Amino acid sequence: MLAVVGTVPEQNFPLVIGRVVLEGNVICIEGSRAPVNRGTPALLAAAIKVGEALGQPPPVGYLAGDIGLGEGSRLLYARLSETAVNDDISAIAFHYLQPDVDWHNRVLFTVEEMKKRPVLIADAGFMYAAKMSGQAPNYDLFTPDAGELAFLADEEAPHPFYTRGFILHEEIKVPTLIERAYQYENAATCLLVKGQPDYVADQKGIYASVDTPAEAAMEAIGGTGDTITGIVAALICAGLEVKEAAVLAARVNRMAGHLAAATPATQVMDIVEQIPRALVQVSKEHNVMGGIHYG
Amino acid sequence: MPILSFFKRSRSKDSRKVESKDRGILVFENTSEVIRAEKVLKVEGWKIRVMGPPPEIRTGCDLVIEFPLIEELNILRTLEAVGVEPLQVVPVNSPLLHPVDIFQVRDYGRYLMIRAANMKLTVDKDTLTIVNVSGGGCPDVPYLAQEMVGMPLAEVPAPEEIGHTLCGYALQLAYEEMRRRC
Amino acid sequence: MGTIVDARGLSCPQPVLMTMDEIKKVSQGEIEILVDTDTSKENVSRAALSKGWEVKDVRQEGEGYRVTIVGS
Repeated sequence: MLAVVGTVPEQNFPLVIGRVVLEGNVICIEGSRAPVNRGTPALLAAAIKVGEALGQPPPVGYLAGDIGLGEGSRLLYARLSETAVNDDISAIAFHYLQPDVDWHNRVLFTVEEMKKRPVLIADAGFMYAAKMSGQAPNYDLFTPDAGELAFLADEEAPHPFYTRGFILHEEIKVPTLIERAYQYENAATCLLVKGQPDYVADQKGIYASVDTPAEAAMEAIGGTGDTITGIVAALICAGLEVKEAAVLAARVNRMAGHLAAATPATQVMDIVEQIPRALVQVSKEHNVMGGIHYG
Repeated sequence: MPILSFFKRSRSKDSRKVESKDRGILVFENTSEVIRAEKVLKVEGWKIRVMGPPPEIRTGCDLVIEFPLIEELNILRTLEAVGVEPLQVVPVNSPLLHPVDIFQVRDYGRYLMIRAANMKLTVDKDTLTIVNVSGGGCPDVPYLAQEMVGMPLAEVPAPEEIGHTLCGYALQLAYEEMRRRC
Repeated sequence: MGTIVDARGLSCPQPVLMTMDEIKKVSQGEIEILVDTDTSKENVSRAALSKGWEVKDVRQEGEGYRVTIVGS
C-alpha cells in the first residue's frame, strides 16, 4: 500500500491521516476535502487512478494545511517522527512540505527503524530537505524537474533559489547535471528527471529517456510534475521495480496529456481523467518498447 | 554497512555544516538595526539567533542574524514593514551565493513561459492573463497558484506580497521578468 | 469452462490489466491466468481479490504459474 505525505494549500485544513478517495475533481480523506488543482492533491489523484486500474487499495494520505508558513508541515513532521507508518505500507511518497533539515532527519530516522523499510520516494520540498541534509542516497527515487536537478547538481545550493549561474546555464545538459548530482552524493538511488525528454538514471548513468508523445504544453501546466510522481509511486506499489516504474510513468503521463489534447491552459484534472486509458495503451506498447530509448 | 550507522556517522562527521544548511544570515548596517530586527522577528515567533558574521561577509556591522533560510521572503516583508532592511541576505554555509539571475524563456506562440530557478510562470500573450503557475516545492506554491492563475498580469498580487518562502521569491523573479517582457 | 488469459512474456502491469479486463468482460465464472513471475502471480491475485473475486488455485506450471480465480 502507498502512503503519501504532503500539504494542502488551505490554512485551516487539519492534520488528517487516512485512506484517500477521488470524488469528481476533489480528493476526500476522513471527511476533509481538497480540490485537485496541483500539488499533493494532484499526486494523490494520479496515484488513485493508477491504483484503481491495477486493483490496488486506495493510498493512505498524511496531509495537513500549509500555505507556506510551515505550521502544517511541522505537524506532519512531528507526527511522522513519533510514529512510523504501518507495516503494510510498501512505499512512501514525500511531497510538498516546508524544507527543514532537522525535522527531515528525525522523520528519516524513524522510517529507517521500521522492520520492513518501504520504498522511499521524494519530490518537491521534502526532496529539497533530503538533499540539504546530505541524506539523498538514502532515498530510492527523486523526481526533480530540470530546475530542481540543477539544484541537486549544485553541491553548494541550499535551495533552488540559490543555484549558481554556471550550473543553470542553457549549455549545461541534463546528463551532465545528473552526473554531477551523483558525484556529490546529492541524488537518490534512481532519478526520474521530468523534462523534454524525461530521463531515468542511476549512479551508472542514463538508463532510459522518454520523449513521446511529445507534449510541450505539459511543462507549463501546474500539477503535471505531481501526477508523474503519483503514477510512479502507484506503479512501484503494484510491484514494478523502481527504474521500470519510472520509465512507464513518464510514458503514461505524456500519453495522458496527449489524450487530453493538452495546451498550456489545460487543468491537471483533465489529464488525470486520461490516466487509466493511457495506462492501458502504454502497457500494450511497452512490451514492444515504443517511444523509449534505453541506455 | 547498516543504514542507521551510516546515517549516525555522517551526522556527527559534518553535523554542524549539515544542520546549518537551511539557515541564512541577515547583514545590517549597524548594531541598533540588528537589535530592532531581532526583537521584531522574535515577537513574530521565528527561530533566530544573533551571531558574528562569517569571514566572507565584508559589509555591515559585527553582528548578524541567523534565520531559517526558507522563510526569507516572509522575513524580509516583516522587516520592511518596520523599516529595517538588511544590506545582504545570504545562506550561512555558502555566503557567496546569490539569488538566481538567469531565466529560461519558452515561447509557445500564444503563451509565454518564464522559469526562474524551480518556478515557472505562464501567461497568455493575447489576454495578458496568467494561465499557469508550476514547479516549486514549498507549500506556498500551490497557494500562490490558486491566487494568481486566471488573473490579469497587471492586477495580480505580486508573489513577494503574498508568498512566504524561497519558492515564492523565485516566482517573484519570474513574475518581474514576465512584466518586463509583456 | 472458464476463459484463459495468457500473460506469459508480458511485463508488469500488463498481466494485471488483462486480468481486470477479463473480469469486466465475463463478470462471473472462472478465469485462468498464466504468468511467468512471482510478482505477476501476486499482483494478479491481489487484483482479483480487489474486485471481490476468489483465488481458487495457484499452481506452478513450467517456469511460471497458473492462477485460477472465481467470481460470482
